[in-house]
Amino acid sequence: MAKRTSIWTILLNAAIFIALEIAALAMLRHSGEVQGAWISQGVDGFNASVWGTKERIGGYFGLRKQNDSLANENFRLHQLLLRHGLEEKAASEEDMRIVGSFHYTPATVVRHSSNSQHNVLILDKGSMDDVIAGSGVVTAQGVIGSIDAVSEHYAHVISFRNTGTVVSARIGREGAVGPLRWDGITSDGAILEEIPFREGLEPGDTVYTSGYSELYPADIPIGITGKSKVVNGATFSIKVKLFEDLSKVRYVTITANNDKMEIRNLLNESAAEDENQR
Amino acid sequence: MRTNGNFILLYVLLTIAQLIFCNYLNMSQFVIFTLLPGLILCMPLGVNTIFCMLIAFVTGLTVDWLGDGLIGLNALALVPVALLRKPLVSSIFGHDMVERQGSFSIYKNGLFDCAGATVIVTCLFLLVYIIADGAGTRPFWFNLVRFLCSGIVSSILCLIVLNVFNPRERR
Repeated sequence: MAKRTSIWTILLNAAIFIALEIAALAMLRHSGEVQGAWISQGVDGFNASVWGTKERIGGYFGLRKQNDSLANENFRLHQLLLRHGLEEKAASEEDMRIVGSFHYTPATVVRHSSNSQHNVLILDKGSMDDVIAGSGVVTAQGVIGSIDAVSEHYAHVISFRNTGTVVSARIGREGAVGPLRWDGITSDGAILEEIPFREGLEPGDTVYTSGYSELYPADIPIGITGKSKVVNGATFSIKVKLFEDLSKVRYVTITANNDKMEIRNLLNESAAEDENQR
Repeated sequence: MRTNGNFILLYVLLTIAQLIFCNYLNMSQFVIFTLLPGLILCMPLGVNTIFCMLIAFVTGLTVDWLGDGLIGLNALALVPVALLRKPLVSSIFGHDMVERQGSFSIYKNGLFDCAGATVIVTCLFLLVYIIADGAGTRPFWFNLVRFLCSGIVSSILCLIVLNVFNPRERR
C-alpha cells in the first residue's frame, strides 16, 4: 500500500512539475521575442514528432483495411483483364467456342491449418454469398484447394496441401497434362506425375492449370518445373516449385463453374448409353 | 531549526536581496547572482514537494516580475530545483534526514556535503536558466563561461544562504 502511495505521489509530483514548467514556458514565450521563437520552434518540433508517431501507428493499424481494399481492387482488375482476354480470344477465333464459364467470388482466409498432412482453410464467404460446395479456390498465382462444405457465412476448403488432392496441370500452354500433387513436405513444393516419356522437358518451364477440371479455369500459372525422374521407364515425375506459398496465402478467389451440371449430365447420359449398348 | 515565522521572514528578506541583485548588481553578462536555489534547498523538509514547487514557482515569478528580467525565466529554472530537493538531500545527507524531517547546516553536516548540495542545485538552476535565456542564439563557449562564472559565484551565495538559515546547529 505504501509503495502504491509512493507511486501516486511520484506521478502527482511529475504532473504538477510539468504543469508549472509549461506555465513558466508560456509566460516566457510571451515575455521575450527570441525566447518566443525558440519555444515555438520546440513546440512545433514536439507536435510534429507526436503527429508523426500517431500517423505511423494509425497507418500500421489501418494496413488490414487497406489490404482488403487493395485485394478487392486487384480482384476487380483481374476480372476486367480476364474479360478483356476472353473477348479478344473470341474475336480472333470466332469459330472456337469458349468452354466453361466461371463465376468468381473474392474471399479472405480466416483460418488456416498448415502443420499436418490434411490441411484445411476457412474462408469468409458462405452460402449467403452464393458460394457452393464443389467450387475451386485459386489465386492469380496458383491453386489453393476446393470447397467441400459451406455454412451461411463461411466455406470449408480442402487445401491443395493435402495428400489426397490432385489438380490437373499442363506444362506450358500446350504441353503434356498430368496430375499435380503436393509433395507432402514443403509449403511451396509439388510433384507433377504421369508426363509421357517422349515429352522433351526443360527445367524452368511454367506449369498451368489444364482446364480439364470442373473446379479450376485453364491457364492459371501454378509454378515452374524443376528436377525430373523417370518412373517405371514410361513416365516422368517432375518436381514443381509453386508460385504461391500456401502457408502465407490470405486473399483468394472462389471459382464456380456454371456449366458443371451440364457437363455432368452429358457425362451421365454418355455413360447410360454405354450401359444400354452393352 | 528556526521557527516557521523566522523562516518566512528570512525567506522574504532574502527574496528582496535577490531582487536587489537583479536590479542593481549587473556587473557582467557572464555572471548571474542568484540566491534562489539556496532558498529552495533550505526550505524545511516537512514541506512536501508539491507545495515546495508551488512556492518556487511563485518566488521565481515574483523575482521575474519585480526584477529586471524575462517573466517566467526564474520560475522555469527554480521549479526543477524544488522537484529534486528531497531526493538530493536524501542522497547527500541520508534518507534518515528526510524521514525525520530534520535540518542540515555546515556545522552539523560539514562544509563538503553542504557545498556539494548547494553546487548541485545551483548548477541545475543555472543550466535551465542559461539555456532558456540564450534561447539557442548564443554560442556554446559563451554559455559555458557564463555557467562556470555564475556557478562559482552563486554557489558561494547559496552556501551563505544555507548558513544564514541554520547558523549554529551542531552535531
